[in-house]
Amino acid sequence: MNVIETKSLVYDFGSKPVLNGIDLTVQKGSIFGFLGPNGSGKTTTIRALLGLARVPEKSVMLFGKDIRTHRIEILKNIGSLIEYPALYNHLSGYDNLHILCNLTSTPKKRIKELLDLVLLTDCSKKVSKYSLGMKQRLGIAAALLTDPELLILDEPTNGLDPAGIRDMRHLIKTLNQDFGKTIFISSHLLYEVEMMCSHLAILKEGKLVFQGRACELKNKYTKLLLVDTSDNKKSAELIEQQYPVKLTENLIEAVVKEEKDTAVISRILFRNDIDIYRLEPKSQNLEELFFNLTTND
Amino acid sequence: MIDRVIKSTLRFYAELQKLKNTLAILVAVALPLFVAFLSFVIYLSEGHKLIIAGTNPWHGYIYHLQKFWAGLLLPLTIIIEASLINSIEHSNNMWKQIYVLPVSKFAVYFYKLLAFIFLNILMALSLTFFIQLFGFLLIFIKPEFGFDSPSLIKESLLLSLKMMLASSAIIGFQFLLSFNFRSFVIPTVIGFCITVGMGIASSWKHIEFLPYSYPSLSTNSQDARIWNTYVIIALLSLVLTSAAGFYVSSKKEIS
Repeated sequence: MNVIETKSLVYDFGSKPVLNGIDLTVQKGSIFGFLGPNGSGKTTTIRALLGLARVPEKSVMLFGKDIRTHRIEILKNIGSLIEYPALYNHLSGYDNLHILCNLTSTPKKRIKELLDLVLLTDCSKKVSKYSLGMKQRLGIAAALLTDPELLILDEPTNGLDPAGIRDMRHLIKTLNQDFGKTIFISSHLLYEVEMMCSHLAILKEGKLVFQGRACELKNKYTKLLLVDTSDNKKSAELIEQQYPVKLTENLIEAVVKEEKDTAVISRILFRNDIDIYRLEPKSQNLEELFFNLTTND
Repeated sequence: MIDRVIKSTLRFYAELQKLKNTLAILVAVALPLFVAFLSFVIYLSEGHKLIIAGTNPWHGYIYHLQKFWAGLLLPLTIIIEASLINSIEHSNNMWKQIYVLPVSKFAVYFYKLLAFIFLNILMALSLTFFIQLFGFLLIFIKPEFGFDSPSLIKESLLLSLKMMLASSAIIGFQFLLSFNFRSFVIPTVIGFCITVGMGIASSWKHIEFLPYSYPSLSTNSQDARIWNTYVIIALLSLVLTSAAGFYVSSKKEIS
């Protein structure tokens, strides 16, 4: 079942198009990473998903319903954290959650459950005295208040130190695996997305340039094969007849597309009596793929 | 039905909870206290000139104080309070938290406006309370002034209430401005300019067409009745500005 579905989603800032026909599909139970460079339209997409930006009818469907016509019904099932957590700094963490409980008619006992879950024990002091990590955890607790099926988190690790990022990653995984939440997470920290997300989409200038499983992305795009032989110069000349090659001081880097290309290169070298010392496929990591997809040549 | 009443009460209470540790409640109590204290000091030093022999001194004491309050301080306090109550949401862009809650956009505006009206009622009650308090102090400090006469608490309360109702147009308009403008300065300056303009134009023959003058005009007659033309027009203006506010809230986009 698709929890999020956008159909040709468009949005303009005045005359400037920000989103150019986005077709997103997020499946129930997934951790969906939403990547893109700054200004690519990630936050605008999230605003559209939450009904904060006005979009054409039926272009944003959540739980099979249109956000334009079923806003309240949909929002009952969504918790969100957009960039930095929006909190009343002059009140305590407990008061912040209590206010949200009253606004959403949520039982007060939920506050303690959530504070335990996000490991926020000292919630009596004013939020203005919290560290950013504590604010982010309180923001997550606020997002979980109504026990939503879907969590939409926009850059949840923004400004956190490495320990905070690790804790946040752990919390997100726990929410997905132990509580069955579907999580839609935008981030510019590609390593984080690679570690957490089962599915991802990459946005460039308001258009999706990839959507699918993280492993599909890696398989879909070119890999490098590192080759070291008894005669690298001759090997490079032979391989170059079929594959693009770059010869460095000690290694040959051949650009291949499929796994069987490794066997083809191996046969070429064997037939020419060249000893093979190393034949190692090197997958590009998500970061390299991301830059290849989002950088204008 | 009961469920709806409980939900509505909780939402209103949530709006009041947001006022904790803010200046909004302090201003609603401290400004009437300041004005009543000022009047008390004036009566202490100049009371013998202000009190007409053979009449109930409470009458002049209440009327002159409330007239001063209605003409200048009440509109200014409403302007500041409107900015304060909305700045709670504008700071840290709380709107993005509020508008993703499963709450209608109409309710977002309505309950906040209700909390603002509550602040104005609190102001009216505080003013009446402090007028009475300092009036009673005068009984002991200046017994010769005759403040041991009936304290006219009912008339004082009704006059405060009438001023509050007559300021409904200001309440509605300033709230709408502050709801829309993130900047504290813009609605405050607009409100201040209009209020000062009203003061300058107070003797203008068409002043009755300008609702910012209604709190002052409504106290011109010492008639204790609450309902008069100014109060009714002011309340209608509140309804109109609130309708505009509901529309604005329903179309609000959050960045």
